[in-house]
Amino acid sequence: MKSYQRVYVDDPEMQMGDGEGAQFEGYVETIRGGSVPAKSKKGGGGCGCN
Amino acid sequence: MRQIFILASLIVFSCFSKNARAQNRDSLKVNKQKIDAVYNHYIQDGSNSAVTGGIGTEKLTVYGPSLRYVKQKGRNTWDIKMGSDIISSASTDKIDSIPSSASILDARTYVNGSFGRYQPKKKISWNIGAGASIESDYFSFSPHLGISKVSSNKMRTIEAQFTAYIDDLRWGRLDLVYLRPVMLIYPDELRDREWFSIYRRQSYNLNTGITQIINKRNVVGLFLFASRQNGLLSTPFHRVYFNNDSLAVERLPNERARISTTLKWNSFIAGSWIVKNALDAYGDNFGVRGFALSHESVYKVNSKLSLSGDVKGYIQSASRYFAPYKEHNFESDYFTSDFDLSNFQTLKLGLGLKWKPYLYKKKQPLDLISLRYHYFMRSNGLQSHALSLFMSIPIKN
Repeated sequence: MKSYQRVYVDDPEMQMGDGEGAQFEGYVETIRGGSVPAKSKKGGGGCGCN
Repeated sequence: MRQIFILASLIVFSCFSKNARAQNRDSLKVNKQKIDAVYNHYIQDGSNSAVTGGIGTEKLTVYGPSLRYVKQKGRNTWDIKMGSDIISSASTDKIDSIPSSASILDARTYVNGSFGRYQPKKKISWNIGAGASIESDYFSFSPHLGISKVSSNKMRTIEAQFTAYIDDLRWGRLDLVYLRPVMLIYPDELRDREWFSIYRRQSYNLNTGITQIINKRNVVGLFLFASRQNGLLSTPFHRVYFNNDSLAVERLPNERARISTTLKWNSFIAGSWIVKNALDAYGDNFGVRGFALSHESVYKVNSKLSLSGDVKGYIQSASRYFAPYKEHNFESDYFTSDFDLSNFQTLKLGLGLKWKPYLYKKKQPLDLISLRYHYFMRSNGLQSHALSLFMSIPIKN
């Protein structure tokens, strides 16, 4: 694929990672649910017991 | 003929060398710094607190400011993040029988640092770092190591990240009398004995993934998470009431293995719409099984502004060690009334906005502002609202 053809796939919104706000939501979800999704930032550390 | 072939080979080799040198020069020229400022606000309410044995308020407010500094120079990146989640919790105030402002307010303060380097010839990036967080009853140290490789045609990325969390659940570090870890905190009426002889918890997490560009508008990713935990996995101030009216501290096994997989598909469809879909599946040896479906639509109004909406549904089966208030058999080996490990369904709805107010301007005091809101509801009645404000501020060299 040529560089000029990558305009869509290189868009920041097309990346697989989460933004800062989404990271916080993911962190909360791993506490309020028993599971840890793959690629999430949380998997231990911190009490999360409130 | 032979001379022409040699000459052509030299020209081609020279072009490739120039190209490679140009790429290397480009990667060496990068010199930028930025500060990301984030504020998260979270409020929650429910009536199944594990502190009070699966009944009682789960009212909670979290105020979460954080700052992140990123410096990229040449092939190297330095990244430091620090922040604090100030937690006002009605349930932790029920650990002892005296309502107090001291136990109702807690804070989780954290710092993370990492160093990364990109090797352009091999198209490999690696990073190494460590983090730490402290709460009144918790300390966590977390070293991590990661690597990613982009294929020669830049269509595929393979990544792996290993993180270890070395945790200590003793209280006392933030108490002005002790200023050191002293003891595990049990519910007030259960402090006549030591319920646990250990106080450490270790988690070893491996995240791997592959991202593949399918065509000009589609990218898919497959991610795997595997984790091994050992040590004190029970929370020492969680109560459990049995069916014979007796009371104990939550007890969970000292080993836990977890695995999950996520499939993501991001598509830049016609016009200015981006749709992101994901499937998550999870399982562990506590008997918890989870499955999630999520969708996010992003509309790019123009190059400066984008709006988004998202929805996520999740179903979870209960851990074999879970039972609600007064439903546990007192002869069980392991028991918890923590509804985070129960059978439930959740729904999350969200809205977001991203704005680059100074894009194309000569002076850019602000690179990006992002605002996100989420409403979350769990089938047992727990509800929450989360608001996140993010600002990225470039720093002039």
